[in-house]
Amino acid sequence: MASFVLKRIWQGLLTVLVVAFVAFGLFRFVGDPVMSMAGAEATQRDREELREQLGLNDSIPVQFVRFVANAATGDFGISYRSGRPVSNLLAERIPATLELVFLGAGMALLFGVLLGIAAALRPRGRLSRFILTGSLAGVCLPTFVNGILLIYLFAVTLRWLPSFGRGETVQIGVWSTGLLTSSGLRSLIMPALTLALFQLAMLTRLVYSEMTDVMQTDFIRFCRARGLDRRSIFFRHGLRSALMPVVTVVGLNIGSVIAFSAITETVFQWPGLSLLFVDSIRFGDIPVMAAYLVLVSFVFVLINLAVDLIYFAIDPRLRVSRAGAPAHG
Amino acid sequence: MLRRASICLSLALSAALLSSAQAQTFRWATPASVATMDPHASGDTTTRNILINVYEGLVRLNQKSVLDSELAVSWEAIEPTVWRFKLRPNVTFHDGSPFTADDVVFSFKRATTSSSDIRAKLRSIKEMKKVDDLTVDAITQAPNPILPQGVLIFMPILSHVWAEKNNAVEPADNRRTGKENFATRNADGTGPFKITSYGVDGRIEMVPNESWWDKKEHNLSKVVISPIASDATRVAALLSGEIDLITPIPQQDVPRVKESPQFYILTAPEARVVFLGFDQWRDELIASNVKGKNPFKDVRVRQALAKAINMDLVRDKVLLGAGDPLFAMIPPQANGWTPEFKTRPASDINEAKKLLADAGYPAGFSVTLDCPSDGLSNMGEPVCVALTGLLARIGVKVDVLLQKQAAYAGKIGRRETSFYIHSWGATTFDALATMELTMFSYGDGVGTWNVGGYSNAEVDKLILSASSEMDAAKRKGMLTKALSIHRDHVGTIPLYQPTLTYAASTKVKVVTRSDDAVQLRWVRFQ
Repeated sequence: MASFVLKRIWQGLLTVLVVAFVAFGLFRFVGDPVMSMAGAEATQRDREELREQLGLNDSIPVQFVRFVANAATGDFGISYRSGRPVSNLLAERIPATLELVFLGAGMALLFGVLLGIAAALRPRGRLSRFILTGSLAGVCLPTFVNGILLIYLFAVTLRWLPSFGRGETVQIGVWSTGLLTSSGLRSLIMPALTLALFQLAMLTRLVYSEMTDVMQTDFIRFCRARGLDRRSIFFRHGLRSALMPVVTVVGLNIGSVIAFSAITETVFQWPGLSLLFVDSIRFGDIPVMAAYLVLVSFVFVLINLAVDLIYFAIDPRLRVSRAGAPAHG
Repeated sequence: MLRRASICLSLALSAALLSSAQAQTFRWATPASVATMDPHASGDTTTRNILINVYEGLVRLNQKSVLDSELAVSWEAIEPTVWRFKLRPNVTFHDGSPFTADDVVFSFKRATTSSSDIRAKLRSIKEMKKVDDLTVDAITQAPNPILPQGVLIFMPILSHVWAEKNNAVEPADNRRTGKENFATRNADGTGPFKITSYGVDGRIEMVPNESWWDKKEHNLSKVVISPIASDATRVAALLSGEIDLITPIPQQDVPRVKESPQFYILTAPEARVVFLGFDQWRDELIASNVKGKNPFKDVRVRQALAKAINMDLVRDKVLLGAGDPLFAMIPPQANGWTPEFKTRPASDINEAKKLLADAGYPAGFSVTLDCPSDGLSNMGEPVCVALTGLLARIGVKVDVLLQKQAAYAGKIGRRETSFYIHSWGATTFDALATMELTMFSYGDGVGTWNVGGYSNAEVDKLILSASSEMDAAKRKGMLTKALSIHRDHVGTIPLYQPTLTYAASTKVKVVTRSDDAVQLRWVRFQ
């Protein structure tokens, strides 16, 4: 068990390092922050001085080693644009993203499973057809279209919900939360729904197809033969086995929800990590970009580790063949 | 009908709610937030244009973009290199400390330390000297006829008492020390508005400075500035009544906003020129199929390209009217302009083809155009694509290389381009700065942005003389002449002057200015 976890952690760290290195290699194509920082009137010498100060004259490997050494102590450097420590910027933005992601994922999970079950109850019923058609739209429509449609419906036409931002927030220690004010909650509804829609629709379809598959298997038929009542067969036996792949998919998707909240955050001007990242691309703010990418890869690694551990707990086969474990990469 | 009724009802309700709860709160959305609260730490335009409401300088521009007094009441050049400024008495900073000559001297020092990102703008001043409490002398490196308008307008003044008390005597030199400084997130100017909050999300709240020295023309009780980067969301925020002013509004949304009686469109010609530049210094282009020679060195090729571009068409079909074609490197608002600069070379395909053939390229050639996809007010991509079509008609095959602004700026700055679209703002409303940076033979300090390497001894001589000519009429003559020569040689192909387009609620009256600075001191609720 311990060696399995250690091995996983080691692999995870390696992944983070590789992501950081690739990111560093790409930054030279992202832009030259010196041009805009030094201003139009700057001389070549001004630019050269600035470049030297920022350490941009060093080779990529040297910059990379410096970055990793500093990052190991929690220091991600200074944002070129705002002149503030990147770790502070990230820390300030994390609450907004996490509240959005967890609410979005929660909505997707709850409604996705419920709708999937409702559709599977009577697979040829009218309700089922309605849900499945709707879920198809949810899977097909791009996130930014969803977001804009919601804004035009609920903000511009009905004027019920705010179209941008996070509303009033309350500071609790280092955490700023929008969950305790009415404007904060109202601001959260549309972004969370936008973020949830794709996952929700996908989960609906997944639960539906798993359920209909399971309901046709032999063991369900035996349950019927034993004379168990329909309800018990459906929920106690059918649903339970249908939910196994759902757990896997949800686990793996939380990471991508965080990573792909970029579009939602941009559409709703949601002041989270991804918006910070999108802004930093525009201004060539390399320290912020690097830290964000490392952070996101770190989150992915953590989630994958958690999923592996859950597998480990569930699947007895993994426990037996410890040495050959990493079959579920 | 029912829907309309419900909209009307909700409108009336929200209007009633708004007017009772937040009377005269002016809510303004911009694409980007300020980079920092420290006016010396960043040269960013958005930052400057927002902080201009908080920090003042010795001089300012009025509604017509003409030089006006601010913290200085009068000034004169007592010697060619010495300007004497009489300062405004009885002015206090937001924290209550008095404004004196010491603050001017201190601010100059602070703005020219190595951690200041605006120091290059102030390069022509050697020293600021206190004469008495309300008099300072600015000593320049060389005679500078437009020192107040060309240089000092870019020097925001901070309280030295406040800066010393809060350990912020220099802009935070974060790149080395890794520390932020009190002034990064707090402000203390003499301006008409005081900052009350600066949030993580970039939201800024301000209240009027009740002890401001000037006559109050606005009637605001609070200001909230929110960054909204996405164009569609910014427009939606206006239409939903959450925002009173958006700067800018994308051109395609203008008709929709015009339809509604609750909103209106504001425009102003921007003091900026969008132009095409070409490599005229390398012996062989780095991004073209012509080998062994550089077609852009031949003036006939440059003329042919200029003739092939029908700017009226581009204005109507691509810019949707938001631009004025011209053919000079400065806009009409800048000193040095003459009406004939408005006239573009007549668009004539046959003549353009003939010029190309005479130059030895009867079949044309191909070249890569560097283009910022998110630059030129987001018009970079459509304009570049339109140019491709226009130039293809004379056989010049243009490959558009779309890049993000940050990447593009680096590439242009390092001169790694054969053909590029760029824009230059006449922020001083005078031709000289534009000419020194984009037309003077490429070099260090001057000609830095002469990316294409146009070089003409007479133009250089005229720019040099104009930079120290104290006689205004003579000086203007020199500027116009140098601009005309550059124009005749097609040193660049100037395309158009962009139009700034904002949208606002009809409840507010906003004054637009050609430098894209919205001055809160002129905003009024009706």
